Amino acid sequence: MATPEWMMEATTPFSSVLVANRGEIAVRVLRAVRECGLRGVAVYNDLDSNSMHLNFADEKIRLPGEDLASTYLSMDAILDAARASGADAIHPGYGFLSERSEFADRVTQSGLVWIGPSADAIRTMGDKIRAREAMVDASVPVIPGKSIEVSGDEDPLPQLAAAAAEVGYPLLLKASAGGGGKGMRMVEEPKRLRAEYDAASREATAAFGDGTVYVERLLRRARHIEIQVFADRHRNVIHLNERDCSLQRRHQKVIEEAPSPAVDPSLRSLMGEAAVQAARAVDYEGAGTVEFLLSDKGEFYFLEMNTRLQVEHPVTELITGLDLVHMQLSVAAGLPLPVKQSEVGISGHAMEARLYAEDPSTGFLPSIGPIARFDTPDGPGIRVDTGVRTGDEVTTAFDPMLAKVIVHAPDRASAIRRLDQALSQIILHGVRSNIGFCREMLVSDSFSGPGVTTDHLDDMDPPPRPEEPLKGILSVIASAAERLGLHRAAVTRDSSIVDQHTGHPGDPFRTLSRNFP
Amino acid sequence: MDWKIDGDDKTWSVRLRSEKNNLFVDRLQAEDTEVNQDFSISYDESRGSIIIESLGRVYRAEATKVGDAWWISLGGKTHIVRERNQDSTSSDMGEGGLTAPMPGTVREVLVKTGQRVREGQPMMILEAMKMEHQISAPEPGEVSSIYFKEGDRVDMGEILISIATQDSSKSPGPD
Repeated sequence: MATPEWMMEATTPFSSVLVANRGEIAVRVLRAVRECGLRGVAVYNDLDSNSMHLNFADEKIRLPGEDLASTYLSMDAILDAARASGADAIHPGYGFLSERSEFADRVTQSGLVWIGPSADAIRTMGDKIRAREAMVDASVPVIPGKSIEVSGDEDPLPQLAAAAAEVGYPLLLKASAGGGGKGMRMVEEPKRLRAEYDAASREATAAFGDGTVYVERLLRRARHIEIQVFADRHRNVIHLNERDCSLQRRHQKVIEEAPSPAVDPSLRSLMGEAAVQAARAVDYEGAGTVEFLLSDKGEFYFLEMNTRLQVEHPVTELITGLDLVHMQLSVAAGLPLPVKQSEVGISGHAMEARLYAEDPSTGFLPSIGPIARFDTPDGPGIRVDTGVRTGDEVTTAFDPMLAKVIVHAPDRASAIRRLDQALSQIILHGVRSNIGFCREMLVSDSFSGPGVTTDHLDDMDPPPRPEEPLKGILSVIASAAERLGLHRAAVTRDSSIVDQHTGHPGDPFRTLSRNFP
Repeated sequence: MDWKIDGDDKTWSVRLRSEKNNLFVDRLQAEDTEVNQDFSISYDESRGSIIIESLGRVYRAEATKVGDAWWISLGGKTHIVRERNQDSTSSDMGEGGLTAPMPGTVREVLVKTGQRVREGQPMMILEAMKMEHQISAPEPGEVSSIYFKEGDRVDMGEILISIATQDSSKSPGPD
């Protein structure tokens, strides 16, 4: 395939993009690749040979193996796949190799275009301690904290306790190479330090292979505000406003929105300017996110910079009208940003819920099983980004996020109602999910009022059980379903009920085999 | 047909009758109590929905069978309704066993056989999907058996630890 016309003036043009990912983000990026007139190459491992993202690619390359280490996390396997497919650019998505500086280096050294920031920027921001130093140098405010070098068999507790005393309780222990809530523990008081440290270093070792720990003051009643930034190779750096990700459970984001109800225009421009400074400090290129904690006194502190596209990027797309993946492709080709800071506006309010296969009634343990039915909502202002459909299976092999439901509405109150309605339309059978939990969060007084702090979800009561009159109806429905023969319509991964071309579960032309009474 | 609804202890019995293209409820019982309520049932094939009319209200539901359970979406919520199996035994919890909530690896065993535990006391740490999950004692008692050691892989539903409670002889058995 030839380079598309829009890329003719570019300094590093490409025509074929390998997406080194799976699931909803692979679907999202592959769609954008095609929209931009480029050829999309998907990769898959042996557990993914029938996965939804493959339906959106022009070519698919198998990564032999079932484990992540030799497939999606293997730089060699991905680079071999790029060579085999003739791809001349690589988009990493999020997770997997997206924030591995060595991978960015190797992609570039192989003569391919890396759709992301430089390896140096990833390296600096990926190391929480170096990132902090860089931010201090760039006059971006940081949270009080100290780093601990853990050296082999020496007991780290004495120096940990000293650092903790200096920083102050309550505090957070963070593995330097951690992220996404893994390898991060809250310590309320000195006597819990040992146990939480052990847990944090174990999680970090299991997930990232690095045991270094960072001690940081825990700001209570703080909000998690992040600024989307974008930079090109022509020294243009802009911000695309904030996202509020305060609704978290155990440091995993649950509901995200833009703009933040806690940020007014003057704070927005202050935080935006700080985020732009942070990006400039590492010569950033492409899409990135600068995360801040915003205290109840209006002070904000740099948390970290994510050097990739974020899971929650759609809320920014909806309020700005920009397509961040299109912009990533264009910037990676060497073209200047399509908009100036003064042209970036905010239209209405956007909100996203992350749909996880997990069971609130068992303390949010991941729920595995067949996706026997998955109908996603639709309607004005509703967007669903997903990588699974009816007939797929949720296993422990991959991340338990099934989909993101994103809505756009004129204001925050109507966005909440629209998201609640959209979530209520979802039909998901075979695995348990956090849908009901998300809906309760949305309509809770503290969320629909001024919004929440990151402590909010730890305070919530468990969801209520079904009401009495409903139970009779449920047993009648089960009997009727049995009589109607609906159980014979049960689907599997290889079922033909899912349309193989669109991957759409609600294909109107499908029929259920059943016995009518 | 007899059903149990997740989150509810009662057994619900339903007898249906069909007339033309609709189904009707002949009898609905919660345990031994009869519920006098009329239901008319039809099926919307285009959307795969069951339509229930009762007491002037219309309910739309979607049902999918997974194993021996019906997953039912009704009023924006999902419920699980299981066929009541006559010879089913009580849950593992009733017998003092603690099962793995999902496949994973045993990270740490925090108790010893014979040790007394209080309610909520952490006994084992399981790692699954890169996250740690704590297995805690559901009630006070004495650890009678530990079936796995650190580093062992466990499958979902496997019994990890048994606890003998003070009145384990009177623990709720099958009804």
